[in-house]
Amino acid sequence: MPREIKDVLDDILQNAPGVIGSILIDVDGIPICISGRFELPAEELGALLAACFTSYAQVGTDLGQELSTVMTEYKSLKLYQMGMPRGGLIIIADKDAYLGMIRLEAKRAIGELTNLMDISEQSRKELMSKHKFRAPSEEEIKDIISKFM
Amino acid sequence: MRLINGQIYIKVLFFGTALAGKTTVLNWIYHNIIPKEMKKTTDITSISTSFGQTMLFDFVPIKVSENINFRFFTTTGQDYYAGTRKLLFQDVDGVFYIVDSQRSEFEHNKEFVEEFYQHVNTFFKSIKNIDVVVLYNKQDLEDIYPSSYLAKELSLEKFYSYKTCGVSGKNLKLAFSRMIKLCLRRAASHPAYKIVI
Repeated sequence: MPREIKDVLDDILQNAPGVIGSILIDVDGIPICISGRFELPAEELGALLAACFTSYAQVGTDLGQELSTVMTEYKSLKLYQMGMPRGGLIIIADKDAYLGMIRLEAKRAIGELTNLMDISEQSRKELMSKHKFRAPSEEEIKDIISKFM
Repeated sequence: MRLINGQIYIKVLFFGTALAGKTTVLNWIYHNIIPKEMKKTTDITSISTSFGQTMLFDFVPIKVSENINFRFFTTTGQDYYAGTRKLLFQDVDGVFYIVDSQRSEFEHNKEFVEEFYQHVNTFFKSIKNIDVVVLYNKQDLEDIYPSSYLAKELSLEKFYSYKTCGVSGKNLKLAFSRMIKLCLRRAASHPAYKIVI
């Protein structure tokens, strides 16, 4: 069976001692895939982390530097955020987890995730059919609007 | 507009001068219009300054149907944080343009209209590629310009607009419904989604 994004995130959890969760977000912070446990709702967490990363990236741009990673230490947690095409990978670990190990796992995962997220014209079509995507009908739009009135 | 894991994500921004009422309007909408079952978080997520004004953004994600999600962001109106304001325009589908109707804010409003069109040109090429709803806010106060005057002077006549009061919520239901309808119709007729996965 081909590996999926969840498998890659699960591997980080398995391979790096002390890691309690990882989350893959798109550039705007929309959660794409989650592994492990998080105290905050994923969407809220994603938006905040994307904003932080984007702010640091902007500082880098002003300094003429490209941003690759943001590492944050909290009282009892470590947070490792790494940018990638179209998104970012976030790893959350206990305070005693080895950053070197996390960095290694993150680098390995980013390579695989980038390939998995490589959306060609063909895979776009496949995704559309796989998810049975449908645009909202006029009736559905009316129904949604009625809930706000 | 993004399609992620079969879910459509639509991004709507609240844009306008400092103290125009962006956060107040979003707050009123969150607490008075959005049904509980649509809310994906227990409250508005905000990154504010030490004196309570928006520093980076306020954020509200909602799920309006089985596969359609809206994400609302307010921008900061403070000139000091103009750099971060621009960043939020990336991949926006709809903009609530909040105009502070007070006469004293007129020049400031003009500057923001200019900035708004700059962002539109940078990120969307044409204003036709996003939906805009204008709120002429603080219409309950004295010493304001009428909305018709503001629309003409600020070149905002072509957009749907409402005279609003962010504190009492006047016309916010209509304005909010209009924005949702515009974005959903765009989603239905132009399924040019950025598919992430």
